[in-house]
Amino acid sequence: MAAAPLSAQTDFYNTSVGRPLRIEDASPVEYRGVELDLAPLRWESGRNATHRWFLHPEAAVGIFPRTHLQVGLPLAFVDDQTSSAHGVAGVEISALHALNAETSIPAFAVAGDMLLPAGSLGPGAPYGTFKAIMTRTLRVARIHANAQFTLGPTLDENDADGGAFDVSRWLGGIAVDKTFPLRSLLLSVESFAEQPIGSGTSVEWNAGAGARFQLAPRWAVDAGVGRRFTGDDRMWYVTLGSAYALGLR
Amino acid sequence: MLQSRFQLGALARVSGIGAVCLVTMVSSASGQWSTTHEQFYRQASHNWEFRRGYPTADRLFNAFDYGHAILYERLWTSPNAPVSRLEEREYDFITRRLLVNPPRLPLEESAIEVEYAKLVPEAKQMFDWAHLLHRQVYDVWADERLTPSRKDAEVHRLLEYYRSRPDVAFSTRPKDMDLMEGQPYSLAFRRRYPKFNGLIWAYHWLQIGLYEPLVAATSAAERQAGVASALVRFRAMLDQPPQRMPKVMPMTAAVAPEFSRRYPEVAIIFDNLHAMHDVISDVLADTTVPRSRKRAEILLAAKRYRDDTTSVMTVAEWRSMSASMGVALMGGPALGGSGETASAASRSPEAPADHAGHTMSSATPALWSPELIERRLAAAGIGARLLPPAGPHIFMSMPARSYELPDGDELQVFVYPDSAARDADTKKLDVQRVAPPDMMIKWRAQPSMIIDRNLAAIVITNDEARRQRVRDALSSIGTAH
Repeated sequence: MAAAPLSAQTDFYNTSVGRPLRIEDASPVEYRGVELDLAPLRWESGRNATHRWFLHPEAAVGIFPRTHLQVGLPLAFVDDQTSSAHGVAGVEISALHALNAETSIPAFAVAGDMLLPAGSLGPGAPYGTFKAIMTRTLRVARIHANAQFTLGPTLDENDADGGAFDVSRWLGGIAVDKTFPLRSLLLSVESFAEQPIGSGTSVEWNAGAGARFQLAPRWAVDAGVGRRFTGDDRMWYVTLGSAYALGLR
Repeated sequence: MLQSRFQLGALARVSGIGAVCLVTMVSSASGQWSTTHEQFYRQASHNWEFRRGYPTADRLFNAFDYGHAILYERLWTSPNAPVSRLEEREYDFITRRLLVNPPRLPLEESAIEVEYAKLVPEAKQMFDWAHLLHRQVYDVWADERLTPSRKDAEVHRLLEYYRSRPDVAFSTRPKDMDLMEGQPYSLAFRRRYPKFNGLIWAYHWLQIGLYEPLVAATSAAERQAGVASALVRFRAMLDQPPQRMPKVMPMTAAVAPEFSRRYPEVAIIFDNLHAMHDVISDVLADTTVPRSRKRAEILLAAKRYRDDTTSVMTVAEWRSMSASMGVALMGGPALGGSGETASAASRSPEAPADHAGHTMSSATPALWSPELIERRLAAAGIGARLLPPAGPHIFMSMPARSYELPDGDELQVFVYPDSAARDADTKKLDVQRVAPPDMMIKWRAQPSMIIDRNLAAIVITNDEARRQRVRDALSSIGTAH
């Protein structure tokens, strides 16, 4: 998944997938910047007393102007009534390229993400996702719109809940955030719909809220909470994370 | 297989529609399509040392970011707002709350100057890039682990890194004041908002002035004391605004001479940066520049401050211009100065043997200074308003320091380092005609020349009584006034 952009010492202003919400902004990690998402944690609580924990360490590097490359290694722990499992849930490699800086024209970015089959809880086949991102900044708030489509095999009913990886056939949504610049604080809300990759599944509606806060010039923390309201896997989720910024020598 | 085909077809259709929308949008607003980008500061062991060693000053700089940002945002989004909105409401918020309790972290300016940042992201990026250089040079000199030679090497690496972005880097060639003060929109901001303008210049004074104690001190304790002293002087500038604020743009060569001698290119970058700050304020404040032209004017000015050809002067001319503008009017030199501002100096026109804020010893030959000239004129009751620098003079080797006298008359003064330097210029002139022998000049009124020691002055007036009063005021420096 695409990573947070890095605006010198104000990383709190820039959101990325899961940090804290699913809908992200159209800014990449800045050129020659490195962002380490050290211990981003996500906890999900679904029906039938199923709990899922994810630890999703990532590193993103601004390899070109307006372009970053990111590698992530999601680790999962799945616990339900009868069994539990833990392990690597695939390997993610992604890139995000900002097409422009925002003017009277919104900021646009495109991203590509590849989830590779790796680990005991990873997918059985590679999945490629293409995403379009738009950010519009208003005086009262910023608005982000994301739309993505994933290529890869559809899972049948027997596989649908077998893995811990989180892939949708398509996803679309918006987020709105409000910045408090003198406090280095960002508050966000989002709503999005997604079609799970499993066959016979119905569209799922989600909503969430989160905050991102700059602790120190190099260090930002975030937290979020959300709810899946429809679909076959209704659940609550909570995220906690931190990002450390440095530059390439 | 069928499903895959369907997926690819859907993707192609969505992509096609998106591409058409994008191309349409871009073509209809191609002037607004910007690809400027951010770049991380140079990673080094000295990163954030200034924040660690000088937290009070560091936090003040965070507050400065707010002042610059809110200024542009208000000028752009509320052009018809009453003057009091900036001069009182914002000014009071900044000086009574923000500067008293500055933010603990650098601010995200995009969230403060929301509309301005969208108007000219390219200019914002130029400022961000130069501000990173500012902060990183502080870091180098705040790092007590580095020897002076290592610090020099690090600053040169920073300069190299800075210049690796020609799309946003300010030129290292000094620019004359014509770019800042000779444009149709020039002075619009400072005329309308003198107090806020003084605040911005006070910011700039501290930003360049802090380098001087960092560079000139010989120990960590001395550096700490020098920085603390500069902070006290900065806060004193905000008392009774705008009387004690800088009256002209602080120039690095004058305020921080040792720093400028050591790193002339860096000092020139900061002067160009601060000049462009003023230019943007003027463009935004000037009602004769239509809103539809603001972006184009700012981008044009930005290009001129980046290139190495437009309105350039030599480093020697830059130093000379900086000196001739009068360091006391800039807030005084960062080290060794009294801290008197122009108005403070002009309120006490007592000792003529005072030069640039220093009391001269009896062994020092008396010389003219801009401050002394202003005191003499004030003591003689001659209303003289300092005019913006107008660049190189047509026949003198240094720019004139010009004053507007009543009824549109003018006084041009040239203050040289010494009498010999002055003589090198004036001996080439036909002083009766006030021109080189081979040059015909059409003056607006009758010119006449006053020459004394290191001073040459040209009085341009048809009022003979006024001419005589100016002559009397600028009579020999040894004459009591």
